[in-house]
Amino acid sequence: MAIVEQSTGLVKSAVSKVIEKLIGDNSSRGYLYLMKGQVPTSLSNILNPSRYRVDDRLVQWNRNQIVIAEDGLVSTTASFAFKSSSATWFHWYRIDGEFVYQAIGKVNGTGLGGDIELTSTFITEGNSYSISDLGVSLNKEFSDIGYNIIPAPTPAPTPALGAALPCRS
Amino acid sequence: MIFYSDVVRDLVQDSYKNLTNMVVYKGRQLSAQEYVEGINTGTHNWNGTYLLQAYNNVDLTVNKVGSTYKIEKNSAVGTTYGNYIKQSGTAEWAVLFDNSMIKTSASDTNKLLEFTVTNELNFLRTMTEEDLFMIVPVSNTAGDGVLKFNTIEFDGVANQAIKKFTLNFS
Repeated sequence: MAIVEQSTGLVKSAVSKVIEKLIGDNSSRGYLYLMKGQVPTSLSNILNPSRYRVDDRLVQWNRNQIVIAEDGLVSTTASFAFKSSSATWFHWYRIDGEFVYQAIGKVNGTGLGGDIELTSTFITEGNSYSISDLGVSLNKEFSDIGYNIIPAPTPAPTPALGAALPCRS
Repeated sequence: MIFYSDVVRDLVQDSYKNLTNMVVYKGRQLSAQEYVEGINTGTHNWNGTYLLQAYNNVDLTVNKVGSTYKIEKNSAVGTTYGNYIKQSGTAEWAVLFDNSMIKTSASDTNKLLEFTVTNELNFLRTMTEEDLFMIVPVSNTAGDGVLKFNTIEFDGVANQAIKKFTLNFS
């Protein structure tokens, strides 16, 4: 089967631009949430993410709590959980006029292959949480010419310290 | 991880639509790592054994069909994008280079490629996997290549016009 392969440089450039779109600038309306409940299989019907499954939100980070390192890794400052439950997915979105930039991913325990891995997926109301490193990656190789770009998890990150929440994507 | 279509749209517009310089090769399709080695050892540069023809500044456009963004060639049938013809052979694969890799003025520094006035394609420095390129299959119009020609038998004389280019993202 015919294979399409991107160079490492092209992948990095594309990922950098994805993150730029998700984060926007200091005035952007954007949020990152840890969520409970069933993981959506598509985002195409989420046209107003600011109202999407509000009751399932466990922890919120606003745009100015999200930090992008030079190497593209995403981290956050600490936020307090406002609900107790098991986190199953994350929702990151930014609204820019008529455009809505969104990414979702699975949350699992360490070693279980989630886009974010937590030491414990149970989130406790009132406890403080932060993301230590959330990476976004694209596959270098793909064989389905019709659906060429497939986001994939990055390798395991360095665990967070103290009360921080070790995460990866 | 799933991205919403506005992310994909910008990904296509900002990154992959800029892969407008194309080099067609004969022989086995190489991996990105092998290709870098092939350029740096000379087997796959202009004076190597495998380069058939190059195309400069192919005009690409983005069309949306359903939830899929399609990068397609936007030019009239028969547009040639230069006359960078090297040798004959059976076209099997191609490398697409980002616009930012191309030297277009004397003040450009550290660029990888230059299309010359003598209709050649020069590699100007050592290539690395950090350079911006994509390797794709080539076929005739009946095949499943990203880059398609009426025939993949290049005679080394005629300018083989690109028949179709389609790269899909969803």
